[in-house]
Amino acid sequence: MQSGDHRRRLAVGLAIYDRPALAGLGIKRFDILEINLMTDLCKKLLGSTVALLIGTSLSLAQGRISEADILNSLQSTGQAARAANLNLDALRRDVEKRIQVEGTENAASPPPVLQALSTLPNLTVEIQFDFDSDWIRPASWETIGVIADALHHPLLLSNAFAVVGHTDAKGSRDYNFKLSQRRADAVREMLISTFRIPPGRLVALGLGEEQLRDPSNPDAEVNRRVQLLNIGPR
Amino acid sequence: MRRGFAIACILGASILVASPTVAQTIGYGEAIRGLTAACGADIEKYCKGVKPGGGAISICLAKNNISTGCAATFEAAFVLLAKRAAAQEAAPQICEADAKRLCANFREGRARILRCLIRNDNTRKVSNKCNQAITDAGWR
Repeated sequence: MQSGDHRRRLAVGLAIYDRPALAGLGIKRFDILEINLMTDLCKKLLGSTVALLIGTSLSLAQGRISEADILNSLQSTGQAARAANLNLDALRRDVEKRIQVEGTENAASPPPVLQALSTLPNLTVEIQFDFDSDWIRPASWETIGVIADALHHPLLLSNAFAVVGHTDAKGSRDYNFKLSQRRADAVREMLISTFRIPPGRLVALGLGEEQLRDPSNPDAEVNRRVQLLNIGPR
Repeated sequence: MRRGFAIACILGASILVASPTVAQTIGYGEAIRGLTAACGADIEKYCKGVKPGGGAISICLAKNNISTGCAATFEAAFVLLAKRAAAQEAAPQICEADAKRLCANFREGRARILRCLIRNDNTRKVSNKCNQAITDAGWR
């Protein structure tokens, strides 16, 4: 058994909504996760030792990325505002149905709703879980803490996030779907209960192996990830 | 353990530093970095499977014979985190007058007013209380 199996990683996407104003600072709402905002967020995140991948479609090896990379990857963030209407419950039901249909795994073109998700500005992080468990290993608590710091910054305060979890394709689709949901829930729960993010700002969604990052290598580690997706203001 | 003590000392010392330009608080990422360094081994050993939140980890650690470095770090981190949360909560109110005085031309939203308040040319004009609140909130 490979050591990676003991640390199955999950991907979680967050969707960002609105929150009441911080009247004193005049912070009302943020339409989208704009470049300035992401730059600031990235500065915060990159200040940690945690390897992060940031950007709508950025796909870099784990490690530090330059501000230019970030800006390039975030040039079109208009998707976020439109995503505010994204119905995550419906999405979850769609994925559940799809899993029951043989031949839809590793499909060349994922269903439109998943395609829509993949266009959102997002942050991909690596979270380590115990094998086959939703217990987040202490090694990854800092990553979640740093995310929480960013979520507490005024630039993001009016937004809410969806935490989306992804697994690789080892094991059954249904099992992965459920495991990823439990893990997404665990990340959301930690952000809420440990790091004081208001529950209304966070939703959790497990996508199992339905949105592989590297479809040509379905069992690869790179597929296990957590995404914070910006689905726009609410 | 020695490392844990060092972190506890750093955390503790930062409570005593009262300069307006130095945060008297820490962020979650920083706190967890210190805690996992000091307590990670104890958590893996005694609290595997215990989910953080609601004091579950501190309760679990308290039941076990944890290192003093871990205990001290935990305590210090809680104080500093609570202070940061309080600063974030209070900053808008504390800075309201400064914002009206210095940033009246800034539209609301996207933290424009915060960005106005922390501009270099405004730092000296902003009240000490507001400066400190923004620093303690970790928003600089």
